[in-house]
Amino acid sequence: MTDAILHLVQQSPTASSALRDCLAVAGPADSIVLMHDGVYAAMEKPSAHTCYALQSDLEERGLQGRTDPAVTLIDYSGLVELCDQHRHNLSWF
Amino acid sequence: MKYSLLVLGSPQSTPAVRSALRFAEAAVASGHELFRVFFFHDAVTTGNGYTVTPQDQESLPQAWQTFGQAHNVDMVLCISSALRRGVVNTRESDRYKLQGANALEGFDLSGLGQWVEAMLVSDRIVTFGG
Amino acid sequence: MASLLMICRKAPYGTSYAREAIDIALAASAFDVDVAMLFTDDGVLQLVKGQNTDNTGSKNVESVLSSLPLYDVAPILVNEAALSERHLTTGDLNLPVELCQPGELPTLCAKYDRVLTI
Repeated sequence: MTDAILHLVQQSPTASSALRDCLAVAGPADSIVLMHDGVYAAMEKPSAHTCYALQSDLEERGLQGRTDPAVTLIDYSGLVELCDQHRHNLSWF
Repeated sequence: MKYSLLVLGSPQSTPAVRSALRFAEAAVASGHELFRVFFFHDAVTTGNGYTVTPQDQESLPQAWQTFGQAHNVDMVLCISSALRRGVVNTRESDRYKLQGANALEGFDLSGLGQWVEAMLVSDRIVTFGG
Repeated sequence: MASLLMICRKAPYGTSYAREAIDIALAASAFDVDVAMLFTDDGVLQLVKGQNTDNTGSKNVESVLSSLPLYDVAPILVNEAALSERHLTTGDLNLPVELCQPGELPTLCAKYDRVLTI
């Protein structure tokens, strides 16, 4: 378990300030999960943080095969596992 | 681990309620205990039994009800959010002299204290926003 | 005693989120939780002094916020960068606050048992 924070970004990077606001305060050891419209940010890895994206949300939006290879694709069990590993997760919406 | 979920977004117009369900299913499948799901803000309409979903789409009120019963999950609709949005059980319907009750069986109407308790007893809390 | 950091990111009147986040903080405090609040992003706009709801009929967020000290909600933290980005200073605010910097979030969160963002 780590004190680093898991950030769940749930809004589009262009329509909302959620991703920008998250990145402004995230620590270097924190990780980012892109989900819901947040997956649009997976086209180009948004920061140096470890970055994950929810595959089903990507597929729903037609982004499969178009995302930055540096973004790791996960399913919901992968998301649960990440939550297990982090003492705190924060949602950005 | 013990999980509780705070769900905020509307089931009709945001992915929050469906996403929370997929997360809940995965958490239970991974052997975790889901202590409580607290529906707050627009998410309380998940407990509206008068919702009619087109046949080619998943009915989230029914899907949550089935999931909750199968896994014995405590599902709470925030009472002040629910009353504002017209989701009431028989008790509230009688109290406010409304025409009838529409809250689905399996969903309780209760106060924010239920969420505070869930935060205190759970190892992890996850929020599904709008 | 358990502790909660409530992070408020929403402007006060465009949605009901601001009021609901305050409600969670007050409820937690009533259950003897040690509650702190961090206002950041558009959430700092909740603290602007002089909100007048006479002509809109909505619940006045400023007056709800004024009850926080009575409920022993402390500290009330404000992200200074979010404030200056919105052309505000502490003189524009309706409560005494402690300023913090964006880089402090990880160490701040680590101090609390639970952290919630709305």
